[in-house]
Amino acid sequence: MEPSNNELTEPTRRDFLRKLGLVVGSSAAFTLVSGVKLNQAFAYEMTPNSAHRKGKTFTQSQMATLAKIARTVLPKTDTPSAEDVDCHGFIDHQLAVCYNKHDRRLAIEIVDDIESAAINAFSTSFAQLIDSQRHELLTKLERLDGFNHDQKSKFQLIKHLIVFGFFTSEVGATQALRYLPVPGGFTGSIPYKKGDKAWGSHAFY
Amino acid sequence: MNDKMYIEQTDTVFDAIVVGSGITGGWAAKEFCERGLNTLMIERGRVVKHREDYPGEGKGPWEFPNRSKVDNLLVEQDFHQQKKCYAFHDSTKHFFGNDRELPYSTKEGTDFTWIRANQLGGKSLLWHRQSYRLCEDDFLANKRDGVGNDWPIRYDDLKDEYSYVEKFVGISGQAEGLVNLPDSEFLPPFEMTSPEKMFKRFVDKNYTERHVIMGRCAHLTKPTQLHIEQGRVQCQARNECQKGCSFGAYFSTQSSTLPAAAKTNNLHIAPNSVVHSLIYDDKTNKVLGVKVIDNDNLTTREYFAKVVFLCASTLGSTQIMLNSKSKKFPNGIANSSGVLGHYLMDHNYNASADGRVEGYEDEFYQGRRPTGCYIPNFRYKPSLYGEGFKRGYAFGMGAYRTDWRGKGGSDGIGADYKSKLTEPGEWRLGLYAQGEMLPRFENQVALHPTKTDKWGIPQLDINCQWSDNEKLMMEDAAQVGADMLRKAGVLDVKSRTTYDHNAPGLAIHEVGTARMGRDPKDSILNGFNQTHDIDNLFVSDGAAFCSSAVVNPSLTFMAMTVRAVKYCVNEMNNKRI
Ligand SMILES: Cc1cc2nc3c(=O)[nH]c(=O)nc-3n(C[C@H](O)[C@H](O)[C@H](O)COP(=O)(O)OP(=O)(O)OC[C@H]3O[C@@H](n4cnc5c(N)ncnc54)[C@H](O)[C@@H]3O)c2cc1C
Repeated sequence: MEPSNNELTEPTRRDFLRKLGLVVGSSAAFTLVSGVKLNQAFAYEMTPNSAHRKGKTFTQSQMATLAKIARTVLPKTDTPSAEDVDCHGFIDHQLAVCYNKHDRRLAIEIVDDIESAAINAFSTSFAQLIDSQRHELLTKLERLDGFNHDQKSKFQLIKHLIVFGFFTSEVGATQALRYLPVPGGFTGSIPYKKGDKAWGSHAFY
Repeated sequence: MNDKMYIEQTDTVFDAIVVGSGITGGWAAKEFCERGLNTLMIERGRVVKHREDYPGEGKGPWEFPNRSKVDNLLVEQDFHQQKKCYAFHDSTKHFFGNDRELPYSTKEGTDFTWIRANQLGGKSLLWHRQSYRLCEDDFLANKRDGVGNDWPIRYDDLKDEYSYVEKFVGISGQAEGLVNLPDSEFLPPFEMTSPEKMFKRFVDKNYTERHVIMGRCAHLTKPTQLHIEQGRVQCQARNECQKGCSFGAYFSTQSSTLPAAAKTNNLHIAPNSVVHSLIYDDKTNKVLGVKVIDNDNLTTREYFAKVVFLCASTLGSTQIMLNSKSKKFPNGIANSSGVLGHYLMDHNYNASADGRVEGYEDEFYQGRRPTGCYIPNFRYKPSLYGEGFKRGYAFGMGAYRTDWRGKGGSDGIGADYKSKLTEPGEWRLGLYAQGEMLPRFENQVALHPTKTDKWGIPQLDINCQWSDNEKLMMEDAAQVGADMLRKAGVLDVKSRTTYDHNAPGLAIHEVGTARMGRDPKDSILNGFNQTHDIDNLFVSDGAAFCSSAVVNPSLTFMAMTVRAVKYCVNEMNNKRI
């Protein structure tokens, strides 16, 4: 079974899942639910150019803005930026399949608000700003300087997704953090000095 | 294990039928098989093979389609109850029951979260492995308080079986010599972190009845020959157990009891066989076998045996009994007392307190410990009960350093923020209450008069609520917990109760509904889990409990089951069954 088109609209997904649910046979249902078919149908795949394409939640220009928001929040340091690991593509996907309409609306609104704020302040789109201007704008948003509480909480929704998307990406989990999939045992105390990384390997996220 | 073990149609009259393949059924089958009885294990769900069928195991979060979160429409459609369980994730969801296929109802104004795992292995794949013995006071509690009925057994009746199952399962923990939490047969305990040790020193010094100990869990910290023979190896501290563990490092049916039972060649398994009801012969007053509906194609078949053990989980077993109606037993088989379905209990996990710890910034931990620490019930007898409520509670306890997972909403933009997120944050230490729930006649399951599931089996209609006793107990726990933390030097302590929005069921320790007792007029089972009314019918899962106690119950299901099988085989050998 395949979804009837590539659009990840809610009715399409609903219909697809309903049909999945009707599949007779417990082992068939297991294969479907445990991932295989569902993955193929709706999987998020990292794409190099998602900032230049219409997304599942966002328009093409919103995607471009979101990519730069991601990069401003978590820029390139000794590890790649959130934009480099396609956090914007991930967020676009995650909002479509794991969040509800209301959250999607809030996310779209704040991306639009940030874009308008860039145009108001610098007469150019957020994506065209230089890094320091973007940093300044988002810092003001968090300090409620020219932005209200409502906007800040919408921004936190996006920011939460950027952070989650980055540290659950392969780069984020294994390079920005220490990744130990099979620890081999538990040690209650090991020395720690400032700068040592936290564990990127968790049982559940 | 060979595929000939799995059967569908057969005329064989088995020595024993075991309904269910979870923690209880796995033990019953192993014990029957090892005593030479030709045994049929009947399981409503599909076969889950050890190692082969753990699709979520050992993957990085980036390997999941939604980074390990579950598709929201799938949740809405199939898992609206199961999603409330903390262990429900993309990597584990295939081991949870499907709420659309397994509907149940609750009485208006009440709620009950029924978490299910309907496949070979049952909830043994999903459990948190916490394993504690009941203590003498637990078995005396009903009698002392005049609440519920007196347990027909005492601690000494189960002592040897506890030891026997513990050696086989492998329980990690530390011997403490406490009256309120008898020691098990232990493998080495896991280590505590430094803030946990600090808290332990404080509590041990300042309270006579309270002790901080390492959690006891069914993990092989140091496998013995007995475990190696089962094909199991040492725990790797991944703490991803609910995805399935190919190391076999935690106890599950798949890792432990099933291979042991299969080795005897006496084990047969009928998967995808939903037991509809028991076949009862009123002339001989015996159960002849079970009527089964095929999980997939809904056809009907029957299986026969000399004795039947119901191990289909507390509510699963009771549902089968309620649905087994005859002229002699119009309200459910072996229900001459009328208490079948009554006295449903769960545990009450609805108070917690936590705060910040300073002073251990130069320490961290390595590995993911699959257990926390524990404060055994310190209100275990009437003289120690709190103000206005009976019975007591234990605390789960643990310390950890925060990380990026809690900081997505915190302020900061740019390189400094990113670098802050890559480091561990402050230490936090918390206490999580685990309270006893009183047995009350009103807390009950019955068959719904009209609603059925897709197999044509009447749905369970559940009527279960917290009483004031449970609420007052949680208020006490929140306050006592916060007080202990503050006195120990924990900072910014906050506490809370959650009984208002968490219905019973969510502790997944449902017990009662076919209780044991000495008097056939007010109980279903005798002290050997045999129904008073029919001598070849046994129920050895949590349904048999007279009171919930505070400890995680599954270890006791195992011990009770071993004792019941031993008794049953002896009765068969002596031609009394
Ligand atoms: C996330 C989680 C954490 C837990 N943590 C702990 C813990 O730390 N310590 C602890 O002691 N307990 C814990 N539990 C509870 C523990 O899992 C159960 O107490 C235990 O598994 C019960 O064993 P059982 O064999 O009686 O039932 P189950 O394990 O539920 O097995 C019952 C089996 O019977 C089958 N069945 C049901 N109805 C029928 C039917 N009509 N026909 C045929 N087959 C049927 C089911 O499909 C299932 O396979 C936890 C549970 C969960 C889900």
